[in-house]
Amino acid sequence: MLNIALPKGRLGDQVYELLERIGYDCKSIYEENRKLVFENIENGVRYLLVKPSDVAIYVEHHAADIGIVGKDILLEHQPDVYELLDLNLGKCRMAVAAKNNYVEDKDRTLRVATKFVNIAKDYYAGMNRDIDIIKLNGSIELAPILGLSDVIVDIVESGNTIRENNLKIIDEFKQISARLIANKSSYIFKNEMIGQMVEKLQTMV
Amino acid sequence: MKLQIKSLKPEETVTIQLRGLYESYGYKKYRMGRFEEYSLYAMNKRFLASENVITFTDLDGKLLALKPDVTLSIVKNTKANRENTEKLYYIENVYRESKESHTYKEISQMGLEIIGNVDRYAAIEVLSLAEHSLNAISPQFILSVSHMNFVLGFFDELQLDEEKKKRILQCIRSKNTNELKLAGQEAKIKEEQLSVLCKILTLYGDFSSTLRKANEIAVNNVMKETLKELEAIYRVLRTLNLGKKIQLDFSMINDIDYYNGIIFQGYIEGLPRSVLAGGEYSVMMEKMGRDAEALGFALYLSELQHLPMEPSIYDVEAMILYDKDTDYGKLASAVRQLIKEGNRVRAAEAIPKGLRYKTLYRFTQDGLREERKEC
Repeated sequence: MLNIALPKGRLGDQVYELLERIGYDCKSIYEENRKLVFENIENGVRYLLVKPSDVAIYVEHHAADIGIVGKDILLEHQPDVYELLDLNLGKCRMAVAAKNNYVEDKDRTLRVATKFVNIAKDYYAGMNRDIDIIKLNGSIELAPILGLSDVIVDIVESGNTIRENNLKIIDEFKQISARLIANKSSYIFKNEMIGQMVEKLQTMV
Repeated sequence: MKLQIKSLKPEETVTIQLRGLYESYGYKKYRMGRFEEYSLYAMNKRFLASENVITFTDLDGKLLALKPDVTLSIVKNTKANRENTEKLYYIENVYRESKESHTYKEISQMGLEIIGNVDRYAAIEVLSLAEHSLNAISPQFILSVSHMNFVLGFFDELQLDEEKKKRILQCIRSKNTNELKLAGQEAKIKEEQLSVLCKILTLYGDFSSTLRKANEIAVNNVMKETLKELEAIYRVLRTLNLGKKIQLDFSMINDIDYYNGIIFQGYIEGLPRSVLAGGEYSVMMEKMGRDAEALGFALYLSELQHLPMEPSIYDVEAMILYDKDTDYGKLASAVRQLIKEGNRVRAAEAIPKGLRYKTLYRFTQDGLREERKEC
């Protein structure tokens, strides 16, 4: 039995459809209920629906053998897992944005609002820029508008939210997409099952 | 009094068994009684599992550290050299960041080291002891083995600068094909060489077939010799009826500034992380100015607490109640009698809060009287 941690929401649905097409279906997942675990004994899969940001935790701690998670979360938390495949789903970019009329003063400490504290720190450390991080959990775009921060570091998909809030993108520095990750111990003990799935997925992405 | 074996935790039974095993192979116990200076760990940060070390100032103003690792101290303190090989084992607590809670934890660790002259026999002995150690924990184990020179031998062909090399090694370690292709293109590695790197990343599986696949991509002498060495060691292990649970994994690469020769990691089914890790670290010996080679492994005993185990339902089998005017002599011998019969016993005037007992006794002038079963 292979335990698969799926992120709840749109990405999870896309990934499930992909897995269904290559033979890892589990019909009960479509039932309208509040269950979080669905299994199909015939093809040996058990799906766990978890919060997207928790997928890597489930996999790292062996509660799930494999999982599907955004690269943003892998970059931010650096879990001790194998990153086996890029599924080319949920594509977006990690970007820096600021108000349309913003001009950077390089002599001052830059105030950065973000959900991705470690990614932002890494990015600016690479440029030798002194920053203050303001950790927010949502509506990041508000921060520069209200003067809470100079810039934001966030994921951008179409760029609509950025534009509608009168912000502009200054730099895009990481491509983000959904990745298939595996627990290191599971990779060893369930090598055949995981290997087969990766092989089938490779033909699809 | 006989020790109640059933109440021992897995890490405790394993410790006792393995101590005997290591001693019988001529390893001497190493005891770490003093604190090392922080600089020892600071200079070898990347050898440690985590860079975070607990430091404190000694009375004379020196900056000391609570040990995050034992091997570094052994290397620093041993007098061993190529002519005079030392074999040591240790059971110590180390202080490092817990992967579970991301806070400092006291983690118990056991390990062994051969320092001095490390030949093929030493590799065979250490690998077989690693296998015995894993088997003592659970027969459902796998020992992943690799040799640093196989991948490093291929890197000789590529001629990359340090930074690119590190990035590519990191991609191989995390089995990340996509990232590897990107990094390879950026480093301007030739197409066919990049495809070899991608193959190395997937070189995992049972010994013979993986070795065959590895032979197909071995392009230079270093790589070929490495595979011959691995095969020779494996052949001896098979004659000892060992090695069945060895898997080759060439994507496993330790830090190149510390490790060279053979490296390995042990996994137990059902446990999330490796419980055993080791290898040859003669590069580090050289770095620390020692004229010696070294090989060893550590067993992370704290990981074993996650092993499935039957929960103990009772704290004691017998709970004896007595009152103030009891004959304590008779009470004491009644307690002793119950213990002899294999029970854990608690005697008190009142039942301690939350105590789970199997049988409740009342001690009267006529002796023990059973009051009721279970609580």
